[in-house]
Amino acid sequence: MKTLEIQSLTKWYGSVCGIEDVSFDIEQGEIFGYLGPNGSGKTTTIRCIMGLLKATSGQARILGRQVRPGRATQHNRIGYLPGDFQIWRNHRAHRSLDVLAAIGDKDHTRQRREELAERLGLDLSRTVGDLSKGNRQKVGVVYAFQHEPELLILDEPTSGLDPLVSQTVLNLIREAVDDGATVLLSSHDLSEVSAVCGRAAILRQGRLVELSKISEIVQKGQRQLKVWFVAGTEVPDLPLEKLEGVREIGRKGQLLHLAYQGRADTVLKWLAQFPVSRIATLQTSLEDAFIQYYSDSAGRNGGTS
Amino acid sequence: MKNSRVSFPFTLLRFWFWRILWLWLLVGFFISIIQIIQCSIAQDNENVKMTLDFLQRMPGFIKEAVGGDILDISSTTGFIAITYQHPLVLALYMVFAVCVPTGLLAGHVQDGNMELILSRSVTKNQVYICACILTLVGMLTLVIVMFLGTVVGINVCSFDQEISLWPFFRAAIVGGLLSATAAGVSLLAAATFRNRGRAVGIAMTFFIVNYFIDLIAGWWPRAKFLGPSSIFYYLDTKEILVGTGWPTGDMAVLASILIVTVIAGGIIWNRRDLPL
Repeated sequence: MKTLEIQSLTKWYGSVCGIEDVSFDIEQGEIFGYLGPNGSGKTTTIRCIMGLLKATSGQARILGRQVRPGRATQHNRIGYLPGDFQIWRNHRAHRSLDVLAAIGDKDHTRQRREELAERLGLDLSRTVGDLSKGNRQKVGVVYAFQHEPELLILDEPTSGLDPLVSQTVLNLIREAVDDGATVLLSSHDLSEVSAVCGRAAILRQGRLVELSKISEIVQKGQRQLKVWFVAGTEVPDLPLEKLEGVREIGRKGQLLHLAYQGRADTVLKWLAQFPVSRIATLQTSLEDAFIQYYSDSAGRNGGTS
Repeated sequence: MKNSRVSFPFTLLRFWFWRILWLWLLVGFFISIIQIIQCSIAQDNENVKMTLDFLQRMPGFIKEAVGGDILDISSTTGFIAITYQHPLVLALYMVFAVCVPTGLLAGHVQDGNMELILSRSVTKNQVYICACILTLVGMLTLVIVMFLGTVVGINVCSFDQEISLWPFFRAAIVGGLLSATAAGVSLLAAATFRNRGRAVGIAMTFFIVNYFIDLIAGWWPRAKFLGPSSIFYYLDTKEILVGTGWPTGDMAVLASILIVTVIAGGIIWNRRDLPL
């Protein structure tokens, strides 16, 4: 069963494109990564899904129901953490969370809230305005998880959190999925996406440029080679016109550090004509793949919204 | 499939009620105190007569600013009723009429809290209705508080003639309708702009312009034709105090403006993107 279905979603702000023709599905129990740099359209997509923005065209379905802007479609079953989490600053955290839970007809969240606060190391009795940025973000995490939703829509959930707390948040996401929840995780922190997500979509300038399993995205990225030439020999220059998709990252002494895309045999055949003492391959990360989508050769950087 | 019905957010209504209560109490306190003070001044008939004679000799625009035609009544009732359209009282009403809807709608949008509220099981229309209820009921109850201030003042102070409360009640009701209309305009501004400062600025400018149009039309005969374009024109306290019936024409105009602004605000609020 599909928990979230997005079909050709497009949002224009006047003459400026927020997102264009974005389509993807999320299966129940899946953690789906939604990647892109600032301004690429991640938040616009999420706000369209939440019915906060009226899409110019296309549609979204949540838990089987079509999203109607401003009509709170399935909101009682969604846990939402906005990218820029703001909550009444002059109230104590537990009071604000109480109110928000009650607005969603979820009055019995206190026990779960206390558990979450304890795990995150958050004092809910403090006034929100007195909390640090990180602690306010923790309040946001508690807000999203406190009513044990079926669908979690998290926009940069670990923003401003230290690594230990970030890890706790990722654990909470995993546990929620173990309990049957589905997660849409929007982020530009690739390590957290690759740590928890099975599939991911990459947005660039409001358009989806990649939608597949994390492992496949990584496969498509550039791989790196470190080649040490035999001492006393000259490190050769790369014949870039012959080696398509290969670029030099750096050189130091007898070491040549290069990156290639696709199959390795072209590079290896070229290297075979030189006295090579050692070759090391570096593990490709999601970050490498991601950067490739935003490198100058792949297209322009930045976005519109 | 689980129940996804969106019930009315009484929690939000309660929460917002507690947030605006201090302002309501503050404005209500001052409005009622002003009525009581006015009654205590009015019980000294000799001084009232002197004051009214003095005000009658003032330039037209000063006379207009402190009560206008009410002063022509030259009676204790007229003197007490001055506070029903005194600039200070009107300013207190406007503070509530402007601050509440702009704070609840534009303010919450600007602060980012609206995104959280709308991410819960509450529709945009329900949020708007909550703001409407608190603003309009707040304004109407303030008018009742003002009337109660007059009731208390008249009963506490001793007058050498019987003061009928009925004209004050009618004046209060029409004044309440005028206040509610002002609140409707503020709601429209609050629903239209995401920036609280801009919404407040637009609403305040509207009221100040309307007030001065009414003031100028009252003392400058050549500008009399401008009078009906101001919402304050439709609160003719002298007519209410002297007459015996309800000013149904004025009330209909005010009610029409109220309905149009509230509905227009609701449509705009519902159609616009939030929180961008």
